[in-house]
Amino acid sequence: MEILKAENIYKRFGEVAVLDDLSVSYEKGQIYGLVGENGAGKTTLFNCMLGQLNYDGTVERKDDVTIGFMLAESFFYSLITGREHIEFCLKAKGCRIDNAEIQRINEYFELPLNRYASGYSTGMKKKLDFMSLLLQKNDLMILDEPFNGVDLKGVINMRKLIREARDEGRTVIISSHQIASLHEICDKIDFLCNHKIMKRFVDESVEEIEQSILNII
Amino acid sequence: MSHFVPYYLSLRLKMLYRLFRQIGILRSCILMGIAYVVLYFLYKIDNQYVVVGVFSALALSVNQCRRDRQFLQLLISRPSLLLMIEYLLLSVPFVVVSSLKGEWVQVGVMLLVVVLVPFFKKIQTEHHFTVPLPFMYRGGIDMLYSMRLVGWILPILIAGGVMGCCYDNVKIVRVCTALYMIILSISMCNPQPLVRHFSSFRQFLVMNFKMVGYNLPLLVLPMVVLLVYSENAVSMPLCLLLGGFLFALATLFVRYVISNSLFMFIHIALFVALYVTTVMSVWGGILFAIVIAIYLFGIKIKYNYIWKY
Repeated sequence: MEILKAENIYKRFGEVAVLDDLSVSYEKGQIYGLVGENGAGKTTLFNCMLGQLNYDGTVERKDDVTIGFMLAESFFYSLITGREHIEFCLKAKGCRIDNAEIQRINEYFELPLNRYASGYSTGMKKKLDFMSLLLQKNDLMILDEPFNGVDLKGVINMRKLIREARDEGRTVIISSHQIASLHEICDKIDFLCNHKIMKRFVDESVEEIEQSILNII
Repeated sequence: MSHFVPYYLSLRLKMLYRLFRQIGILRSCILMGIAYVVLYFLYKIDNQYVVVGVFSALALSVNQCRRDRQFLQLLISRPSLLLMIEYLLLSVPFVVVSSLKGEWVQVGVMLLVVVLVPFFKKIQTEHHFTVPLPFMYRGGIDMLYSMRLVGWILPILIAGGVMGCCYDNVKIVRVCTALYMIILSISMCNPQPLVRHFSSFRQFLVMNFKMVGYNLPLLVLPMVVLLVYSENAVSMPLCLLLGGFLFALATLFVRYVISNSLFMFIHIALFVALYVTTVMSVWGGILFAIVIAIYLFGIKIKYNYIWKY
């Protein structure tokens, strides 16, 4: 069942075309990867899908589908603790604050939730952002470069929790440059190049994907 | 949404309380004292629209500086409502001042500002087009940053100065020159000071003095010509230039010593007041020199761990 479908998306910033007749669709209960060169338009595509940017084309999704977006650069209010940040995000989304669930997920990341979030390291900020998104239980989670700056244990646990979310029937879209990491968790990987999705990889090995990307570029 | 507003405001209040606790009772009292003095002056000023102007400038700058816009948009459906409430709270002291003066029209204008400001988009200060600046001192990135940020305002001020000359109004030329120096200096406050790029404290000093010493006279030249032409004397242009040089150095060095944006803002506001009020007095120069010396001493101590090797 399709959870989100983008058709014929055009997006320009002044004279620069970023997305040009791009079409892509996502199904329920799947993990999708999105790869592309720097500046290819991955974040722009996400912003269009979320309605954060104006664009030409159509993005179809059911009204009751909730979407959560993890920004590539996390934002935290200063002088707010990690726990308060999570609670803030949950309240804003109208979710119930489940302390036991917060505790359970934090067992994976071991974050000092009573310390100010703005003082966290880059990796810790990513983990906190991921945690707050995961706790929102959105139907579709979009993660923009979630593994950047995260330590090995953190990445392993993130992958585990992403799989858990998929098993609960949620859809996850991840943009990353780490093909090996994506290959391990994603059911499908899209390659964004020349302003559109050039290829969707489903069963290929990492080597085949890399070779294919090199051939396209 | 209705259940979220009180939670959001209580969180913001908590942040404010923590900020005051972090900076200490004494400094909090000083800040509140400054705020009280500013409000008292606003109450005493006869011009009816000064309070509205100050509040509008404050609300617009807060709106321009806020980084939580996208974050809030991702979480709630109508973030502008939240911002409106926040700006309404910000307007309370100004509304009280205007109410005490019986200026009800101005109160209405301020409420209108509260409603409209959240819908203003952030002005993009970075553009895809790179402005070429081949005449600037090479290596001095702070002034390149400054010119690309506010360079478009300078021709407007020069045009203002030319108008002043044409109509024999020296005051306009002076105001335009002072604004020119203030904007140029304040915009140099690049939020990311690069200390590790300098191999030693001496190199840090040489490069920054060279940068300001070379670029500032070059950029201020049109205004100096206009001033000399309108004043028929060199003393005023010289004072403005020398004062501006010291003012620019003080704003350039302050961000290396102070990382808290609120304190940096207070320091720079005091520099502006000092520059405007003492530009023709030797005391202004002496005070600026003392401030710069203190900053340099602070920088040397603060970054000694980088430069000692």
